[in-house]
Amino acid sequence: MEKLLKIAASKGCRAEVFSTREKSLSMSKVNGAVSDVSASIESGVSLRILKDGKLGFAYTKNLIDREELVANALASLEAGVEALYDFPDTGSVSFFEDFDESVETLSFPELRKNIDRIENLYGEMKEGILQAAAGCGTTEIRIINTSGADLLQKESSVYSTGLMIYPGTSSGLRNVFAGKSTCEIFEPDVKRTVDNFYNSLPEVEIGDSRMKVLFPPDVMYALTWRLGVASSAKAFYEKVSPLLNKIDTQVISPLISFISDPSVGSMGRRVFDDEGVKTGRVPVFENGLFKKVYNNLDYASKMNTAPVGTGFRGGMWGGDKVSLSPAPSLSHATFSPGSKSFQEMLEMMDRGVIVYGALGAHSGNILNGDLSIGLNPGLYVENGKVVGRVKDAMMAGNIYEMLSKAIAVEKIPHYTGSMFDNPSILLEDISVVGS
Amino acid sequence: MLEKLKNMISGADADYLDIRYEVKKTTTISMAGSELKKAGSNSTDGYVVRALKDGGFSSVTVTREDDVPEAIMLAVQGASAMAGGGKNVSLEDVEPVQDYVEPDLKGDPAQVPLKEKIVLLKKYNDIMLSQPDIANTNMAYSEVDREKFFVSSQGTAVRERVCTVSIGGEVVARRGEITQNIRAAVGGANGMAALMGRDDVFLKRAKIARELLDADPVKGGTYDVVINPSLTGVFIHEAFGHFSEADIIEDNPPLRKKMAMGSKIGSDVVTIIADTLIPNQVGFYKYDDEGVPVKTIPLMVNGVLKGRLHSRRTAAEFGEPVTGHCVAQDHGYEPIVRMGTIYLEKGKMPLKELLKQMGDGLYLCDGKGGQTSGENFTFGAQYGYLVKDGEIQGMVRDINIMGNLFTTMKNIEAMDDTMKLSERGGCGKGQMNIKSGYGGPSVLIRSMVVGGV
Repeated sequence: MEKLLKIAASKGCRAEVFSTREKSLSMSKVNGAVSDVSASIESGVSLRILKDGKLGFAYTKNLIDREELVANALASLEAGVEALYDFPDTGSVSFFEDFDESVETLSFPELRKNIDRIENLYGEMKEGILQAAAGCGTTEIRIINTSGADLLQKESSVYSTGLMIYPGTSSGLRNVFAGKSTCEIFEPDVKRTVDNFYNSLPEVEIGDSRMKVLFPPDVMYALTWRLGVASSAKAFYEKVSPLLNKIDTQVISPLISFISDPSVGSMGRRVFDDEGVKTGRVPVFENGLFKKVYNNLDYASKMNTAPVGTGFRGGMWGGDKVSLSPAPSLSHATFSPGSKSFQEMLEMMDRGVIVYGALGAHSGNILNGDLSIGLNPGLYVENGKVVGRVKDAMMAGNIYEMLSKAIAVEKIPHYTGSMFDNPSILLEDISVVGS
Repeated sequence: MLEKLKNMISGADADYLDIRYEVKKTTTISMAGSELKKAGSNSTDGYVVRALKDGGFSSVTVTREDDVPEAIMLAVQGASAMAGGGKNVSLEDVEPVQDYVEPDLKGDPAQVPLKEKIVLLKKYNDIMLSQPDIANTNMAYSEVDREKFFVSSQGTAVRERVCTVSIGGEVVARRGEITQNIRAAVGGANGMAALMGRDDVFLKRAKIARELLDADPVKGGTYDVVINPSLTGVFIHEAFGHFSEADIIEDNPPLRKKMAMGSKIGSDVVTIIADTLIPNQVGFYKYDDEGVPVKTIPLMVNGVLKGRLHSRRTAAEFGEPVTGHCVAQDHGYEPIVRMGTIYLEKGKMPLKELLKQMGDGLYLCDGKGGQTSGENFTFGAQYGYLVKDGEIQGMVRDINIMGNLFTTMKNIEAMDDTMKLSERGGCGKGQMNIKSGYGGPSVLIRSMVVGGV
């Protein structure tokens, strides 16, 4: 990496080298039979160079020819992409708190034991299918730049998942458990999933009406995606955000706070972003007030503000970090916990739906906050009890209106993989259209 | 390279082994509004190893040649871990092939300088930005040029290059507090020719984005709808196509029963074909990522299920013929069952007559993505129109539709006499497939649930 930086610097460029190395194993079982076993060992190097206010970008998976990579970046520089920032001097940081080297030696038999444990907890399926999976992996990210930053973070993870699938469908209810060394399974969560699954087996036709809708952590991405697009410095710089001129304005319910802080959380912590900027707390919405636009180095310079450590590589669908440029990203943002237990929230629902699967959340006018999703599955609740699952139903609305109708937020957040630690949110008076 | 791969897998302790090496060259140019955001060409490579041993099957991806021996070891270990407690996997027999396939390109993008590509992207971008009420664009030129080398322990050795290009993105219109966006794209798998002289496409998309500012949100409810060819493509892909992928239903006995060959799934007018060999289409390839030659498969004929898309593994599991539809995003992924080009056959009446047959309802245009889960699916329309007595009325927006495969396929009543295939693909079934082509005519479907906003 250092050699690459030197070659780039010798061409009169400011430079940044971003590199990753990842190893992962995974295994899954369907109704007791192993169905998939796979592994991956991936690496990559990405080079950004700055010269005369222009940006050059190049990447490779196999760093064999450093001169070629620099040549590719210089060819990219010729295109004239404007860049009015410099790479940050974040000093030297090595963050290994979330890394357990023993995970590197885990093998398929250990994964199989983790899956067996999950299967035992869910018990024999009376109806439907149980998909159980386990995996482990290590990730190393290193960033060095000509400003002096030398940043290294290692992370390990071990996870197990259980998915109870409804008979004759591919949709179901899921739990995800993960840890940096071992996978701790929270048994009350499994029990709730099992109870909800069997209580929701009957299909219910609900027609068209307005009712309470509960978003559990599993589908929070449908909301955070829209909030993230609108509060991005990109949308503000381009003057297309519906939140323009609404800083410090009450936009959604005072019950809702939406905070990005990659340095905290049960998994996936980051102490620097993918541009080497120190991460920290960025309150995007606080008690319903729109508080903060988030950025990356590029948009921070364009808008003459300080970078806030939210420049990450990867889009909504993830993607290959090495080949993607850093962009403003709320990938680590979560809703703040509230004051109600899940059971209390359920009891607040005289009639409503719990959205455990949001089909088509990527469609619609996302920038505008419009949301129109298939409920798949959507658990139908009457008088505080799950009594079935809705048949062929959608819910729709604009998230700013919807989140203004929040009436409760769960006090305990739950880890759900890519959505990190989110609580459930209960909304009222939401349009649901059914067959 | 093929010889080198043969040597890499020789002597491994497995019943079957294959290795795919791939060099992926990409050129990406992106613009946000009038600003160039990214421009450059890059090349990555990597290996995918798969092993079958004692009925266990496993795959490993690695990026460095030095890691290939560890990949082979892990693949064999994984297969062993699956054996005796998992599915008893076998691979359907295929004739070994040796071949080298170059695409038929009308203007090889690899020979076009980066600067010329930037000029072309800027031209289309400027066309849209110069229209009234257009506040922004997010547009990109994308070129993905994959050279794949596949070798199996059964004697197959195939090298194939597939090259996909597109210019596309979104155009954003804004007036006061109202913001609307719409997608625009041109492209294909036959070189630069697909991208040239397309000013009219981008001009029309900007015009529609502007018109959406005055459109009303559609009211949620159940409607009869006519969907245009672009939306038909998304509908067929989401509502039916994924169900024709054997791995989707493989572990779900009730769905396998419903999707048994010979089952009457659709109405009498529905015929659906998977034809990845249509020349110049975005989905075109000759060999899949198991080295199997792709075949044209009638999936449904007059509503009756006639075929299914397979990998070698699923073909053996179902006892059905291999089809050559086991495809990976790139060298970072194991291949899975994917659609290439899939389309609904056209009918005989003009669109006007189709709308007349519908009477009251919605005429919905252009796909905005979709998703499927089990037998349920959703897909979005970028815009639409109210229809009264067969006559098109005002524009509507914010349209998402949900349906059930088995109900909806029987509610298809008629098609018009047009046929259009997509120019750009993009399906995220665990991994992205930019070669998922689809299309069809305009289609009348009764009783669809529309979400609205």
